[in-house]
Amino acid sequence: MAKIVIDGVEHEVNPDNNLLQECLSLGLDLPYFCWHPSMGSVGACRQCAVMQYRDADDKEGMLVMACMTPAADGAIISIEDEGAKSFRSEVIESLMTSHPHDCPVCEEGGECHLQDMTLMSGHNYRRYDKKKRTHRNQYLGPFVNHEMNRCITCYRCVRFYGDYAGGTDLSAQASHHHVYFGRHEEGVLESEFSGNLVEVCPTGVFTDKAFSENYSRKWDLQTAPSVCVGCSVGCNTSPGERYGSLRRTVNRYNSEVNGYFLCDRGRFGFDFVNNSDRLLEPVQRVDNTGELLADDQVKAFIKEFKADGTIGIGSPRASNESNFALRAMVGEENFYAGYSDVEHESMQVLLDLASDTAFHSPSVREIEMADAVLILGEDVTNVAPRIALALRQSVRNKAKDLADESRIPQWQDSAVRELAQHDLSPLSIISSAVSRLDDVASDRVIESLSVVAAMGHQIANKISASAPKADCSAAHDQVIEKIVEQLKAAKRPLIIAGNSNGSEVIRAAANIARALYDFKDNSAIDLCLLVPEVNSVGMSLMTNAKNPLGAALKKLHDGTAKRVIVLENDLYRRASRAKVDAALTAATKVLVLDQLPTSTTANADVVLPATAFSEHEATYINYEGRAQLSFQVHQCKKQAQPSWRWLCDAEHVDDLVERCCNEVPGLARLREVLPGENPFIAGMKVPRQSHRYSGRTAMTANVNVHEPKQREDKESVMSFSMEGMPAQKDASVHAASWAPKWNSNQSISKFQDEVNGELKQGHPGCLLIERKDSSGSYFKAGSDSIEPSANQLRLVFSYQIFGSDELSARSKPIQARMTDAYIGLSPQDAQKRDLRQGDVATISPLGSP
Amino acid sequence: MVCIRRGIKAGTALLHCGDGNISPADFSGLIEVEKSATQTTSRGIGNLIVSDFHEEEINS
Repeated sequence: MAKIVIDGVEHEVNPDNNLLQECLSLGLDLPYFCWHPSMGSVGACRQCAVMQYRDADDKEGMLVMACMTPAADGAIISIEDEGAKSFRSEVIESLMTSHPHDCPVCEEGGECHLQDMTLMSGHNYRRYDKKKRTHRNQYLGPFVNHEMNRCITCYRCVRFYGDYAGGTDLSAQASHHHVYFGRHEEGVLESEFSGNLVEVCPTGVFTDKAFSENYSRKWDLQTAPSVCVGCSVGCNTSPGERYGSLRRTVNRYNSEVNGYFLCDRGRFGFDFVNNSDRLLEPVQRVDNTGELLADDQVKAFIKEFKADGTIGIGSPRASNESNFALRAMVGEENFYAGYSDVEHESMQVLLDLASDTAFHSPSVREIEMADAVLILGEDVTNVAPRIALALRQSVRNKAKDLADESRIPQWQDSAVRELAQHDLSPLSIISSAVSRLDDVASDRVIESLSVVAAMGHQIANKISASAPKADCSAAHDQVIEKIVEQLKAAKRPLIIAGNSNGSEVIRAAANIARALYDFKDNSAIDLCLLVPEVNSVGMSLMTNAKNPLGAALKKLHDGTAKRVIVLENDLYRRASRAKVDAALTAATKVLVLDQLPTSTTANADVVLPATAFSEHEATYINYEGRAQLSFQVHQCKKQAQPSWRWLCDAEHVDDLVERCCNEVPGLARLREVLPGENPFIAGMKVPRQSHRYSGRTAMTANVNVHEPKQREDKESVMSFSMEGMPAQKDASVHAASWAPKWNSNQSISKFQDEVNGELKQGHPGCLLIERKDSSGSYFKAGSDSIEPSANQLRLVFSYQIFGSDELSARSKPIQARMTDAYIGLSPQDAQKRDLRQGDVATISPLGSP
Repeated sequence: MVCIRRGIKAGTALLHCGDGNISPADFSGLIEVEKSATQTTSRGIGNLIVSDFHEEEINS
């Protein structure tokens, strides 16, 4: 630690950081624009000027930019010096020269970093009275609005979009007073992280287009801490509701998971909650028409399903509590997996590996630390986008090493990039098709899935002779040798695979990690195994390995089981149409709980409406086995309620969590994600509404002029009103960050133990999967038993960020970016079949699925 | 719809099932692909940017 003096007060700081970062870590107010906690310093805006003194005798001092000055031991600086204050005031006056006075109609208003910094810097009168610089705005697609006149040229947008996220279609154009941030021509922003521009831009140049169509001020949104249900990463989010509809989702900082950024599916995929097709009332099918059910009829149905002969099918997109309630109702032996049999088989392999002492399942932050990465057979960008963003940071570790060698601080972003140029840490990708990470890949091999697995086994064998050899052609010997050397030389190697296309690739990936474990004297190796859905791991931990979906469908078909309860799941996406049809037709009663109509609800006898993620409190377990708590944001519409509430008598989520801990071995520590018993000031609840929430007395005046009593939340530590005390002690109930003078998302630094650190009294979730004391053994290399004939093709499933996830695909902004179902072919295969780009084709399966 | 991409191994077909119109569970292992007489689709593949980003336009 170093000691520095700021305005006469001595502080201990980290000398590896710059003065701005350390001032913010200390909780001091120092304005800035271009600096961003995850993107480092470029010294562009000159807003963070402070006066630095040579020693105690120096009374003159010298203006320095805090973001570009190391927090060196002995430094003496002043934020409050009149000269520094005056400089900052003049800088912002200059930045504001052409900024429009449109705050009252600007969507950033009220959460605008520029507003905050203007006030903080003391600029309050525009002396410039000439014509302002103006720009044309561009259409940038369905996610982001463009209003260039508001730009203060901080360069954050292009630094995030290009440097951080790898996008190439947003750039700084023109020069002097006319610098323009946009695309070379109008069009959809191509990056799958474009929505982050809304939060990265310190003012209102880039705003949320979906939110814009149904806008509300930040302080009028009812919010609560939530978890994204778009994939298995479990990014932390803060959804906002107003007048009964969910309006937007913004990032919620979690040091270990998503940090400051979300993918576009996570940010814009929430809209299915507002879908006009939502199932909102219990319905019974009578002669192909829906008939509403009264409470006592629902109870009678549930009672009927409690009898012998009922089986339950769980859901990887439903919460732990709902899956558990169904399992408890039908019995563990009658609870079946809610995903395909192929996925079930690979999940068993995956769970076994998750507890192996040879492996460590890395968090997103840990993935950023990897210095050599091998991706085997998985399209990470489409399956777990936030991890792809982390991988883009991991390849920069080489640049950081070079910077250390040259004694350049790592926060000197521009200098470090200039130094390293295109010198990246190794990232090798072996898969069946191109991917969005290819531009940062050191090696890229496109092969059939069986060759991908064989190459994986071969790499393992080359690292450790104990790993079994694979039957692999010599064509790839050179690249295999190169990858082997890179992994062996790495301090923190990382192997990534997933279950998109069966378990053989997972086995090969595990063999590589195990070989590295042997090579590196038994230190656990990072093995990241991706699954597609938000609670695939949670549901798997509750499901008996002998209970795949196929067995459930067979039981219904052959009459061994009479009734089935399907939890938040469209079985037609999980098993073949013929098998599902046969099972549902044979069942005497089919009960389905879901949020939206599906092919399965269409075949149900009774459909019960289930609440969506923002309408209930729930826990989910992400790909690494991290349990996280998601709070209810707003109230259920009509009669929809959490699935577990239809199925059991539990009063409270906590009761079910407690039962999960006691009855499901893999979930024994789930209770640790619940807020502590007495974390709140004077026993007061945490308000979901801000202290500036408006319209409470008027928002239902069209119905009744008397203000209704605010609904009490008897289940959670949060209240459905502005009454209570915003929690600052327990971060798990920290929905929207706000601090005096800091209305934008930049206020998060006030809640971190240090910039980029954990939240104070942090709650990044709870890792549930316990490691065994011993490590397992190598998998035998499989062989490809299927040999296609001349007209046949090997099938590989392609997951798409926009469209493959069942619920977000019902969200309007996401639909604007979706494609039809497609079959991807090489030019040779297409030519052979006389197929052209965009032709409609028929695909025929060979053999039974 | 057919999406021709240079970055796919010859002999391999990449299937994206769309939003539930095709069930992945109806297929496994090997398939045959042929031109369909129908030529109507709702969205097309114009929005397919992800994963195609680094490929040149293919209009064969």
